[in-house]
Amino acid sequence: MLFHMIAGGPQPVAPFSHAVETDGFVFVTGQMPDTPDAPGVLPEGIAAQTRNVMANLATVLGGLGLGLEHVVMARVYITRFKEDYAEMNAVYRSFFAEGRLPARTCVGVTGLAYDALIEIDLIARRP
Amino acid sequence: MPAPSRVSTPSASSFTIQAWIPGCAGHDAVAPYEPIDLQDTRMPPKIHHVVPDAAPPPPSSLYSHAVEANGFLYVTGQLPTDPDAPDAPLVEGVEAQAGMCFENLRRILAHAGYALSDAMFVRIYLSDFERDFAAFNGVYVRHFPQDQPLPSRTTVGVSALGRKALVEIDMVCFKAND
Repeated sequence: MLFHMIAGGPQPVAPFSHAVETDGFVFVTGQMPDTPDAPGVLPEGIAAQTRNVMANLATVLGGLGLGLEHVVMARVYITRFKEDYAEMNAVYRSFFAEGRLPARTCVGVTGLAYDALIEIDLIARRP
Repeated sequence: MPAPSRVSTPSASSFTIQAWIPGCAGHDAVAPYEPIDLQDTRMPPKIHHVVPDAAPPPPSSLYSHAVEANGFLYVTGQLPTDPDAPDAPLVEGVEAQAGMCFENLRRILAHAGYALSDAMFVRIYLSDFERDFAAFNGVYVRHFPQDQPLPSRTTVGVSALGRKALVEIDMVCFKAND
């Protein structure tokens, strides 16, 4: 079992590894909408926050020689489901090639670290 | 165990199987359809663990404590039910409740031949995220010492948990086959 911390990756908000890998499966910790350069500082709005989350996930995967194309399952947590669902989906979809969307579950939650609007965790498969 | 059925031969070059299921709900009106490839010669038997000394599932909620396949162990979210007194009221406060969740998890993992050090991914559900996040983390690091490799993790606030609990924890573990 490999416990990965990615140099230059997002600053952990709690005790966790960025990702844990075994048997070809990579479990990626839920990522926040901040940036590695400014931990805990979030942009306004669901679109910008979704982009940052996806960028952080791509950074973690990139540190492992993987990309978003290797994602098999995503779980999306949003705090304002009704207001933000459609806009989140539009941004989310733009990170994946046509016809190559991962399996996914999206739920509304009552709270996230940093009072974020969104958090996403992933399972990826190493080719 | 019978041999897995073989319906087609997968190409060696692709590691994913993209499949659209006709007749199922989809996000696009028209989707490309490729046949599902059921061949997986590594497919192991699944083992459904029911653990006598862990808190039992309530009658309204049917589950195995954990399901094991191919070295992976998927553990049902554990509430702070006292495994030795399942009908007793829940202990008070997120720290005591988190400790009880971990006691159930430990017993389930031990029954299945795993340990917390085999945890890959942990999901934590808190009924009062803002109030309890820091206190929960204080308990968490006692079970996952920070000088050891830490599992991946996601923590979210939720509107309700079973038994009006403050915390529930589920996890995925992995152990190489003996």
